[in-house]
Amino acid sequence: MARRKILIADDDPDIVLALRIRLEAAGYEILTAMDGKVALDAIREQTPDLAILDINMPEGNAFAVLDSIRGDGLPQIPVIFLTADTQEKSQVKAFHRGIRHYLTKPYDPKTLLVLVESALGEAGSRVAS
Amino acid sequence: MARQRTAEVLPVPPRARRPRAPQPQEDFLASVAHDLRVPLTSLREFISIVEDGLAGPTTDRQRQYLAIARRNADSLAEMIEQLLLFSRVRLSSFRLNRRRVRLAELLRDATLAQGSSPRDKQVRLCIHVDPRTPEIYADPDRLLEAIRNLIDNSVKYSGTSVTITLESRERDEGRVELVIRDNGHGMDHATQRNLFRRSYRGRQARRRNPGGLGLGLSIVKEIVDLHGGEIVVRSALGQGTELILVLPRYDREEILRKEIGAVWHRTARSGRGFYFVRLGIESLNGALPLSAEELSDEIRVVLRSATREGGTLISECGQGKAVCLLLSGERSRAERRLQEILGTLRERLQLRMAAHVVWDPQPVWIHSADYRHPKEMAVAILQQGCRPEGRTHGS
Repeated sequence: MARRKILIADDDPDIVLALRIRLEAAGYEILTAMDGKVALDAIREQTPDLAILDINMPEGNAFAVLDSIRGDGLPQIPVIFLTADTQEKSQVKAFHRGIRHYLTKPYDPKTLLVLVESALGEAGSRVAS
Repeated sequence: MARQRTAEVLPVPPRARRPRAPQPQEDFLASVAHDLRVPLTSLREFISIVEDGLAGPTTDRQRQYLAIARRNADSLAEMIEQLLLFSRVRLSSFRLNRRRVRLAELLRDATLAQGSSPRDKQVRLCIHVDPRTPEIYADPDRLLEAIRNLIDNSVKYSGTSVTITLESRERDEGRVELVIRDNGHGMDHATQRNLFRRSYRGRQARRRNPGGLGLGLSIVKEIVDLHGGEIVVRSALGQGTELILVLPRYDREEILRKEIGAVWHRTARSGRGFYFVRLGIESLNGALPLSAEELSDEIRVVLRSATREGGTLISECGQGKAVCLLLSGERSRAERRLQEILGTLRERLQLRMAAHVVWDPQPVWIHSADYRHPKEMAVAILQQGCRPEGRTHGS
C-alpha cells in the first residue's frame, strides 16, 4: 500500500527537520516547503494527503494558503495549523474558519501524531461517504 | 438655573487619509513571544527525538542526561509563557476591550483554546452552563487567558488523571459566577490565603512541581480585578479545588453611566471634553446589514491601528442597533482622530455595505465642565437614548 503523503510548510528549517524525522518514523512520506507559494505549488502538483502549515511563513501565511485551497480549485486536503502564536483569539479565528486541528509550538510529539491520524481519518471518511 | 451646554454637530468628511499605524506594545510582546517559542520548540523536540531513539540507540546514562535537559527546557518554556502573559497584563497601556459576552461561548472557546496535555497526564474537561445565566460585560480574550491559567493550574497540581469542570451560573441580581472545579490535590489553608500573591507557591506545590515563576494566579487576579470582580477559593487537601470568578452581569445603562463618568473625570478638570458618536448602520428598508457586535469588532480594529490612545467604545446603544464611541482630549486633536477613525471605518465597511445603506455618524462635541457632575451628564445622554442634548440635526 502506498505511503500517505504529508506536506510540511514552515520557514524554520529546524522545525521542518524535526517534523520530518517524527513523521517519517511514523511511516509517512514527506514533502517540504519553506513558504506559502511553494506550499501551494506542492499541493497543486503533488497532491499530498495532508498539509501542516505554519501560520506565519512568508509568501502567504496559513490562512492565505487555506483560502487558495478552498477558492482556486485545488485539492481539498485536510490542514493542520502549526504556530508559535498562542493568543486565544488566533485559535478561535482558526476554529471559525473551519480549522479543527491546531498545534502550538512547542508541541508534544504524541499530540502531533494523534492530530495527523485524526485529520487523515476524517478526510478518509469524507471520501468514503 | 440650568447651565448652558455646548453641543455642535461636526460634518464628517467624505474620505480621510489612512492613518499611520504605530506598533502597540501588545504587538511587540506578541512578536517577542513568537521569537522565543520558535527556538524553544526545536530545543525540546530534538532532545525528545534523541531520547526516543530516532537518532540511533542511546545508553542509559545518555537518556538520563537527556531527561534532565528536557525537564529544564520544559521549565524554561513555562517561565517564558508566564513572564510574557504577566508583562502583557501589567502594561501601562493595557486596557480591557469589553463587550457583551455569552458565557456558554466563552467556556466553549476556553476548551478549544486549551493546549495539549502533558505526556504523563490524562485530562478531562467538562462544561455545564445554566441556560438562565445572564451575559457579562467583559474582555473575552483576557478572560480566556484567565480561564486557561486556571485550567493549567488544575492540571499541574493534580495526579495522573484529572477532571476539570467549567460551570457558569447566576449568583445574585447583579452578578454571575464562573466556576473552575477540579478533583486534584487540593490545598491547605495557608496556601489558599496566599494563593494570588505574586511568586508564592505553597509547600505542597514546591515539593510536587519544582520550577516555574508562580505568576499564573496573580495574572488571573489582575484580570478579574480589572473587570470589577472577585475570586472565591474553596479547597481542602486531597479533595480538589473550586475557584469561583464572580463577575458583574451585563447592564447596558450601568455600563454607559460608568464609562461616561470615567470620561467626565478625565476631562472635566482640565477643561477638555469629548466627542460622542452614535454609530449605527441601517438600510433604507430598515434591515441591518451589520449587527452591533460586528460593527463593534470593526471599530475595535480601527481604534487599535489608528491611534495609540484608543477610545472608549460602548457596545449596543439604541436597542442593540448601534454602538457609542467616546473620544476624549483636547478638541482639535480629538477632532483629527475622529476624522481618521471614521474615514478608515467607512473604507473598511464599504466592502461589506450595500450601496443603499445609510451611514450618518453625527458626532457631537461635549464640553465636560458644562456639567457639574458625571451623573448629570450621563442622565442627559441616557434620556436622549444615547443622543446628547442640544442636537439640532435630524437624522
